Amino acid sequence: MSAILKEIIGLQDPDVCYQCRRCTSGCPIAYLVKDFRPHRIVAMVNLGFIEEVLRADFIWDCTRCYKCTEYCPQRVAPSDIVLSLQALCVERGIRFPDEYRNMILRISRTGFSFEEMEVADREMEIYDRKSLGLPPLTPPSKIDIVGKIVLSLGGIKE
Amino acid sequence: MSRKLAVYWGCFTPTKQYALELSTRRVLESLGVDIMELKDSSCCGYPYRGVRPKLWTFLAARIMALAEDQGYDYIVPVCNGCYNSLIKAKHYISENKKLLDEINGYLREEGLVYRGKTRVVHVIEYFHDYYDLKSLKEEVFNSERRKLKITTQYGCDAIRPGEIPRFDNPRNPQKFENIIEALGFTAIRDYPRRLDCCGAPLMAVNPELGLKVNWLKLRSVKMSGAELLVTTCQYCFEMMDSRQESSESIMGEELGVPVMYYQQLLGLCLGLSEKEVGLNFNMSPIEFFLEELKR
Repeated sequence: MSAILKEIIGLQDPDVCYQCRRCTSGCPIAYLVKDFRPHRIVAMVNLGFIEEVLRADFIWDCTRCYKCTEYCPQRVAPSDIVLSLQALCVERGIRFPDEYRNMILRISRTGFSFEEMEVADREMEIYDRKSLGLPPLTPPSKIDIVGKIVLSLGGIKE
Repeated sequence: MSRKLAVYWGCFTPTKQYALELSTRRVLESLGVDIMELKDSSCCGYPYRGVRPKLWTFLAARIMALAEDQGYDYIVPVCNGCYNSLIKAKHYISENKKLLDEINGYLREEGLVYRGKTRVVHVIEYFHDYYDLKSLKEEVFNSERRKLKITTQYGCDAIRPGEIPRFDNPRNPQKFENIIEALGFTAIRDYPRRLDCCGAPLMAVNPELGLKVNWLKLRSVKMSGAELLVTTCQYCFEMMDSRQESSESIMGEELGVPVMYYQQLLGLCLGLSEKEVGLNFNMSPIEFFLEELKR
């Protein structure tokens, strides 16, 4: 099973983990969330409990700071494992957070993940790009082509 | 000699973090650097590296292919996330010929090719190694600023994972502190949680957790004794500046840490006005620092 994860994001072999817990000891999320233990996620994957991990809410609690990966003496990359699990979740239709779906749709229309916003300053004055004298933000000239590819790679039907 | 710089603005800066775009533009103008806009740009794909990895690699490769097509040797993404997205995708594609061919198949539809030739340069790296530390110091150094202590937030995407070549040591980077001291300030080079996350990536799926992570980080900044926190990452800025109050109310304790973009601080040192560098958009309590800076 870990071979599938490896295929998704090209990570290092998680089999070499010897459960030293260095990843968990420095993890800012493990500090706050009792169920989030990177070393345990790696162990579960290695033991084949993929289905269980895929259905656990905690795989969405990773803040993707890569500290675990940076300090792993075996170069296991727990953060990449979590990201691969998220990818597998989406691929199998277990969970695809709306926020991501909406952002992908927006790229297909505008080229960008976020909508251009009006922003209030400290005095509650409202500004936008125009009133600040910033050049207009335009979609890529071939947005029709880009948008189609984005929707197909994002696995979203319009 | 005239200097030119190809800037990639990303998504978050040109749609919301106007203070960063304003200050970056004004600062480069003041330093005599011409901004070359990356035409036809789009999202770098970084938010989707978990949920849809191939979409990420396509969008990241697209930006680098545009830079090649428009003849730039290197580009500077002002966004930390974009920086990591591009260098990671570059690394990842270079190890996977099959993926390269597939991505190029998509890019060809738009008349683009990804060859992996464009260098991706971080904003901190740009000021430190390209504009270069010595020129920066000649331009702006003032020893009267030494009494003000400043600490940094690199942001995770600037430094990790370190297996991909970075502009600085991923476990103890110093270049950000160097470019702060080049302005005359004293940089606090260490504090607990210095290289930790601000919690921003959690805001999409678990905002409460993100705000808690942010508060812990800010408390650590406060205890470091710094008079100001400086970052170049707009996600860190949004968390540590604009969402500081929400974090305080969730944790029930006020911190009041002043936060600025490096470009805003540099702009002030170059004599730009507060409005020119968009300081009216900062929500954290920066008044005291500004008074001290004027003294």
